[in-house]
Amino acid sequence: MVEQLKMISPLTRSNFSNIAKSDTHGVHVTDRRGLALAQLFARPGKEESLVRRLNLPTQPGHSSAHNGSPANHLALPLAPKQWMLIAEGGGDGSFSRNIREYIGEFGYVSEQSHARVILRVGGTHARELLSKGCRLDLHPRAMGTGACASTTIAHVGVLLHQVDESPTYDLLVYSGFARYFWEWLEESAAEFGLANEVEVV
Amino acid sequence: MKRLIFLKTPEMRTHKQLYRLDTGGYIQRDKPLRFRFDGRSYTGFEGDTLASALLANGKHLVGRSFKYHRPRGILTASSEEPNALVELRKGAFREPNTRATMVELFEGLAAKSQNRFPSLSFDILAINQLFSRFMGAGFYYKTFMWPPSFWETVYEKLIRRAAGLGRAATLPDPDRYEHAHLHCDVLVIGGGAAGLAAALSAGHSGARVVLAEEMPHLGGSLSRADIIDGVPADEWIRKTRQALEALPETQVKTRFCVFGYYDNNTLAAIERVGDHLAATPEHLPRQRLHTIRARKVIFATGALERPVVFDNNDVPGVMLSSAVRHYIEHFAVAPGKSIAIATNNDDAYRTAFALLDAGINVPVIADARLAPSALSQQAEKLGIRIQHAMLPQRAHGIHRVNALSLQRPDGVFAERIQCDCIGVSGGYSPNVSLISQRGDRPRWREDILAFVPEMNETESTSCAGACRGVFDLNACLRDGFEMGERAAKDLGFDIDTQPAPTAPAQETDAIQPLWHCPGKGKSFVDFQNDVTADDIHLANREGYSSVEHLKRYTTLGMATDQGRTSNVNGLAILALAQGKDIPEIGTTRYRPPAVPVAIGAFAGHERGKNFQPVRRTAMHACHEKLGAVFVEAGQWMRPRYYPKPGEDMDAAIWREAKFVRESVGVCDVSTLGRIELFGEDAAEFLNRLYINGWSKLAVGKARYGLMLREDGAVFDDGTTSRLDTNHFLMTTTTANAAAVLAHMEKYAQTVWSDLDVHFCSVTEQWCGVSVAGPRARETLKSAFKDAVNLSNEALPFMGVREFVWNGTIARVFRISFSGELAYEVNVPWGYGEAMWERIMDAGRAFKITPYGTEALGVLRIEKGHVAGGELDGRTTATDMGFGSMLSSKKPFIGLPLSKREGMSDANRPSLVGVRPTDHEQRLRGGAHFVTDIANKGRIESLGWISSVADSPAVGCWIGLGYIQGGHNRIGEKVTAWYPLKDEMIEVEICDPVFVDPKGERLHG
Repeated sequence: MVEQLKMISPLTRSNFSNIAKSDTHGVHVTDRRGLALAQLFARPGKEESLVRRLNLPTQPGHSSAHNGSPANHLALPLAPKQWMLIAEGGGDGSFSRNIREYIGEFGYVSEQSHARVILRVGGTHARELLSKGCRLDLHPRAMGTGACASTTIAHVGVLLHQVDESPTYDLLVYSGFARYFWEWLEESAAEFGLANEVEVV
Repeated sequence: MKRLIFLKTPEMRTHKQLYRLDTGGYIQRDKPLRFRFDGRSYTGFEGDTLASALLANGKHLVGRSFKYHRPRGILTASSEEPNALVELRKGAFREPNTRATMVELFEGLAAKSQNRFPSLSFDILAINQLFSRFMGAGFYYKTFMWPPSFWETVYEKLIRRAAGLGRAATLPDPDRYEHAHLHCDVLVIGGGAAGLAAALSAGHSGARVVLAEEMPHLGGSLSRADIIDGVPADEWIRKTRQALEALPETQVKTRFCVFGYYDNNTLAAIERVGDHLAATPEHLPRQRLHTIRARKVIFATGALERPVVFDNNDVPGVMLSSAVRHYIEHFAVAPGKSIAIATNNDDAYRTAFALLDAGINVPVIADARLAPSALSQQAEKLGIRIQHAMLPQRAHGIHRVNALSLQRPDGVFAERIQCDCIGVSGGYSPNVSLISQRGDRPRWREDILAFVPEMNETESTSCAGACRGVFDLNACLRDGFEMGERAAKDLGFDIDTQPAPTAPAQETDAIQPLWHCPGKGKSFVDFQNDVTADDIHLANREGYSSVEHLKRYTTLGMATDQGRTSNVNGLAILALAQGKDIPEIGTTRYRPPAVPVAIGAFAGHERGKNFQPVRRTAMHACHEKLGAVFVEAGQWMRPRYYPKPGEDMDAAIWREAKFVRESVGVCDVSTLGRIELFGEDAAEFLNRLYINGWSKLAVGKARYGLMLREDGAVFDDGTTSRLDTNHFLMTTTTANAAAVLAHMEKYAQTVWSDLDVHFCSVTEQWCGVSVAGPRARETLKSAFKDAVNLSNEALPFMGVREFVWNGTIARVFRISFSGELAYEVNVPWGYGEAMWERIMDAGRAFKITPYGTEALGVLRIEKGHVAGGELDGRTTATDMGFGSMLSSKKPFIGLPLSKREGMSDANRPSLVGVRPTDHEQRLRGGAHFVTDIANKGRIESLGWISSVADSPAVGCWIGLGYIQGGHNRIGEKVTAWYPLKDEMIEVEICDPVFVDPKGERLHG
């Protein structure tokens, strides 16, 4: 019987779990742990087949959900013929392996589950908070549910995805920068009141 | 019917605000505030500025001038104030040169006057005035000529002490600043009549509108007497604000100053979040710097009144006529009890009416114009004494005006009027400082004697109201409203058909030039830089006849106010001196920032520990627990060494390096760049990137690769492994990871887009440790148990295996930087700590030692491996001894230019090892190899030392370096010269591989 190695989040060693929660809060941040991430590339000439097979979005800057085989996932376009897939089911690499098998010769898959943390930012002041570091226009006329973009926030590379109209955003932040980014978020959100939690998907 | 003036009730009198009117203004009389100026205690009210509160206490003298240390008072009521600069707050919070007119009063505010010693009323350096005839324009350059060496050592220091503005705090700025990004359809800059009207019409269309106003309140220069849409201006401003704030997409921003206009309608603004508070609350920044991206910009920046240039016009109590009116109407403060007025236009009459209304005596209005105007006749009917064709001659008084002499236009004295304040008006100049940042030079309009924006409208900007020379209130409202409508319409919004706000017609007669009144004394043009009319004449006589030369020679308009009250007067005086028209003289341009902005605001969050993002490895907490001292490697934090109690850095490095060779050590190598490549053409892509070949690399094997830049110099190196036929994992140096990825993207996207190759960074998907030393295999066997076979047969040198370790996918690479038997182990990021702990546990039997970047450096120098010091961007593959790696079977990036004459010169310095002949001596990185210094008198460099280490394995300092002749010099003794410490030692050139040249340890 081998003992499993213990997995931790890049934010485990930050003050994420012990900040004082304010009673009224305009910003809510969730560290969403246990999601699988896979970066997908279409092979030359196989883009259409791949798109059909996994129900991928073809419009830049807009995500789409796929319900079905090999697993339910959300796809965010990253670049021409390139997507980031997000799925439930942990960071053991099984999602990437399943996708790799499922698409066969249509494309290539890079396992990325550990490369990023996913911070869900919501609350009445979420947009105002992000505008302190994000150059993109987050106004509903410019960006709605399902919009996604690769950008920098507070000088850190972030893949941003708008989850709902309220608005709520998922920010995919490189693991090495996670603690720095969280500290920026905490300082910048102070004026709105901040609540945070860990969610294990 | 006149109202009673000055505070009457006993309760009010205890505040001693002797110049406060008993009604009116926007101050809150039930909220008195105490404040201190130069140590004395005063009171004001909530809603006051420091300037209005000082005036309410009869205090006009607030500062000393820049050069002559003349007593100075408050000239304006807003942002362009040149004189009333004070020092605010204490200690680290000390802020010099704060404009008293912009400081909102708070309880306990403490301000100090500047540029005086020992006190404001008695300033020793006021003696400069006695010598002022020697201190005209350019006097520094004329006076402090000899000896030249004294300029930097003596003169400059003396001048800087005597002249200049306030004292900056020398402590770190304790305030917090923030950045923010703002997007909108229409940005309206200025919340006066035109700006409000523009925001109204644009806002009603549903466009996203931001109205930016620098002051804490809206309304600009609207007067209490103005009527808009049938109601008093106050009421209209309040209603308009409500209407704007009710629009869901319109934002009204006050204390929000737009100071820069940049390309493509990008603008910068500073928001004063905490400046008006005694202390900024912890959860708020003091100021916020906004970057604004607007589709349309409407400038409604208004106009600024010009002072009148006459003898002694800088005595405290001489104030702009519009400012006099503003202090009365806004703050219920009378700048004097008897206020004389000097003007060349109609606007000053409105001030006179406000004064009469407040019951303040107006002894005379001196109007430079020959004929009566409609307004002057109206004033006369109200009983004011009007003197036409009359100019101010001299203001009398030292610390405060006590009289005004008048003269005829020909310079003949007319009379002396007793007064304690003089309201002056030289006409209005559109405030184009921001507008001209679009790149245009303002255009002169003779009818209003002012520069207006050259282009009223561009594709993405427009100007509305007084800032483009529209001075009539009704016209301003209509102009703003139309510009707002037009902007919204251009952007595709539907505009509703509601009418523009209207105001009763105002009758205004023409202005008359009044640039310089005859006089014998000092007539100031630029108050902040102490430039007089005589200085301008002098500069012109000395040949500085171009406006740009005039500016630099006299410093006219070069102070922090960028000459907003002085430029036009200065140009006009220069034009008069040359007998030219003003448009022929031209005007200087403005640059951002239009108002002074604290440096801290530009830095924002990015200071101290947040200067740049910090990148931590998965095992950061493990290193912290072991007491590691960290070093920044790019943005990464890497353990530099792990000192034991009582151990210094050198001892720790020595111990760590020694232990790796003797037993086993572990080092965090997560920071190396990792790039995963896929595709049928991935091997071909690598062939083109690297100097060596990749097609024949077997699956499960790694190979060292070197890549060049296009110019033939070495770019980066690392090992790349073949995980599957069409699947590679490349590693790069920590420093170059991003640059290498960008380099690859460029070629894959633009040059070889036909290749089936795809890649992405997996640097943070994985984390890695290097386990090195004779006991490395035993350590890992104990850690991995049966998960993978590490025997020499199963995993030879440069072998790679993927396996499952305790439920987690892992990779082991048999590669070595240290020259020892070594393995690099990778697991996904989240298992980094667990891996570290397991390996430390497994290695305990061998006293496993964690080692940092310093020991890593020692080990690789001992083995003769190149790194940062050798890959300095100037060296070639052949220089490094990798000439044999250069493939002749395929082209690769950098190949053509690597064959250039200079790059392939046989005499280029090439890689060697070096050690001191005397083993007690230390080597220095950066030292040069030189020959025969004593004889030649001239030093010739043969090369340099690129890396050094105090080697436990060799027992003395060793180094790598480049020297002409390279290998052929092995055994030779040369001199290493280190000029920074003036050290010269004899060294021996040797083979760069100091340890295990046969590679027996590596393959063991």
